[in-house]
Amino acid sequence: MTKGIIPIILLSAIIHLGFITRFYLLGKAPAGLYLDEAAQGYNAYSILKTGKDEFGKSFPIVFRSFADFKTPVYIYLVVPLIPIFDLTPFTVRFPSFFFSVLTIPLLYFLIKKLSPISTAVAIISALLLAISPWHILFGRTNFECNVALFLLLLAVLFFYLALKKPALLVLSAFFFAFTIPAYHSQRVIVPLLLLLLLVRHHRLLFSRDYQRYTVIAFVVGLLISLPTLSIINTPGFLARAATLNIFTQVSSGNLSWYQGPLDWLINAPWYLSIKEFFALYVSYFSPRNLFLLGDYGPRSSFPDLATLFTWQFPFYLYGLYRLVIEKKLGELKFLMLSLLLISPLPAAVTRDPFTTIRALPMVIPLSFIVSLGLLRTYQAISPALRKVALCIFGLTIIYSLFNLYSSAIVLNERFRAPFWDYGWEQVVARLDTLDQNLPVVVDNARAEPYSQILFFTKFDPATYQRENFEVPLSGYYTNLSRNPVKNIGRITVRSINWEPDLIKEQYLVGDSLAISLDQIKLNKMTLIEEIKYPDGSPAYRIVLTNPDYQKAVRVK
Amino acid sequence: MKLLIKITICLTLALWPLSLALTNSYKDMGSDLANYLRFSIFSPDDQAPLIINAKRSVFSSDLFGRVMNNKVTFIYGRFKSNFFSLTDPNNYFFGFHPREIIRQNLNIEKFPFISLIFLLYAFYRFNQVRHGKFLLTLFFVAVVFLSLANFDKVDFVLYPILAIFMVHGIRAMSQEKPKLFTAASLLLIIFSVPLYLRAFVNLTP
Repeated sequence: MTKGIIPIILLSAIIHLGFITRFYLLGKAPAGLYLDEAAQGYNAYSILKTGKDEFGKSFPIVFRSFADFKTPVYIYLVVPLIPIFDLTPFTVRFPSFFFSVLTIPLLYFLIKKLSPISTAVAIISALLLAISPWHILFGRTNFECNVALFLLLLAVLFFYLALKKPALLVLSAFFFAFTIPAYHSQRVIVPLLLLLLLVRHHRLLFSRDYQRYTVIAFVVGLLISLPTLSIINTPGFLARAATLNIFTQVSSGNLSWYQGPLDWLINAPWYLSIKEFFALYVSYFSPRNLFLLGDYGPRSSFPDLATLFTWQFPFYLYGLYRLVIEKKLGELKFLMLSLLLISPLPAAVTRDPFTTIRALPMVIPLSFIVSLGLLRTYQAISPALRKVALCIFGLTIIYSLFNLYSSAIVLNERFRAPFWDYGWEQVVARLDTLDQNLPVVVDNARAEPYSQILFFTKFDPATYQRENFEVPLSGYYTNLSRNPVKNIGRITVRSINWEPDLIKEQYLVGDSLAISLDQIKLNKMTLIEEIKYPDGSPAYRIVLTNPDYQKAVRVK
Repeated sequence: MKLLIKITICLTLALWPLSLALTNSYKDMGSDLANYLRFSIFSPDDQAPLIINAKRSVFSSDLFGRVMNNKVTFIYGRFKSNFFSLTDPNNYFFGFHPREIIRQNLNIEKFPFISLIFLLYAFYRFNQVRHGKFLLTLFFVAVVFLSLANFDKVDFVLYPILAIFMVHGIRAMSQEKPKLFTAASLLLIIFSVPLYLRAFVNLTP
């Protein structure tokens, strides 16, 4: 099985499987386009048309967007795709899909390069990654983490190749340096992983033959990182870490009602913070999270499906045990354990219980661990029963694919559409058919739909930059204040102010809370359109005001 | 070293029984056992048909919808929920997630979180544990049975098995990695001060 052409055929089949699971209805499922996806897409469009982002900043190092300062690599990857595929949900999700599929053979080659045991474990790992709900979810949607994971693995592969060909160290440094600005959590993962690799291989890296390449690699990495380093102390760079970390808020478990003399000990911040950190860290290894609950976020999970399939649980436990005790795994053991232990660190300092997006690199060691468990179990079975075991395994994979289809395509579309901001494409399309001379007010009391409106209208970026102001460009990375009003041609995105807005003839757009049916009836407005979610519940309403009625009522 | 081992064992094992004693939970064990039998995963639920039908109706193929959503998958879902809670280290060492409230007594910390090191070491040295395979099998058999119903407080039956593993971990580590053991034990003692104080203070909120 493991010799000759068979592994290549199997790998090819697995890549095709990975392609299908990620490409099927790409751009259409999940239905809708979340505001972050739209913001990334429109900023890429703006860069393409003007060389500046939505705020008029030339080629930013991090993108200000909603003052959450998005990492730049993904956005710049979308730029060249727009002339090819146009500005569509498919386009903004394409880099995730593309690099997610490429990660499958990359994992195979990395494990094959390091594996002293057999090619089978590399094949099974690639297969499990190809059908992994965790990896697929971020491969079908616009999340930067998948591109970052690909770059990280590529950098690691070149590092190991460089142990025989020192010149490849430069390429490794190149990809490591690009991984850091690819996703926030990589700012922690890359330095820690690099440190471990350097400590483990310091003798070789600083030997006479390698010294020159090590220095060149360091310089290359430093040069690529210079833009990022130049803003490292700005509030913009630190925005995500500052708002999400567990150390800047009241620790969980604080007994606020206790005011006694032992308060300093009972509510000791050092105790509560350390305990919370470890509770969060351990939760990334918890079978309950991995096999049952998954990510609590409706956009970073599929309904009724966790990060791993339930049937993988015994192999997870056994594989973990084998990984720890098998010394002959050598460098592969070192790498997988390092990735396994480092990957949850950035996620564990944030207050969310189990965020799969921040801990995505864990999917690599987890795929390997389950594969190792499967392989060792298979080897422990008597040869007479192995064919039966293979048949059961094949049927299990088929069932897993059905499960995946049921959750990722069918249930996700029906039950998660509101969380993917479904409906703005339809709103924009409907507005295009209405009287173009009338102004439009889009309510933003509970959301920030301006990015979706910019995206679906493909509004001219130069005009938008000219007609909107948030902060001076000198304060782009440092000033975190926001302007809640956005002007997009005849469309104004702001909170509806009923008193003045009703006496002007215009279209109002809002969700079912902002514009209720009672409100429409009371003010004799005309319901132009009600956009509905796939489950039939109202998403957004477009109404035409009735200023004549308002004037008559107010005169009375 | 012997004293340190004894202190470590005491601090590791005292918390769960102490929590039950301090909160008088042990007095409810009888009714909990009755609840265990009454609230089985097979007991009827008025909401179940609604949930199953809501999901089924989404599928274009009726057969596919029925295969993916039926009574068996619903009951299996309940079983999984119990099973993975009972195999979750956060359940035993942190009272689940720090910001998660499930049920009051399930949120009690059963062992000091530093003692997780000793449990992991016991599994690392699994081959040395006397009757290790038997104990592990017993643990999973017990977990499966507990998962069939409301395991609330009844899960205390798992305590002896986990205690044996942890005592083995403590003993093995003290012999094989004395420096690591000393460091872990000292940390355990330091963290036990607020931990045990909180166990008493929590009585009068």
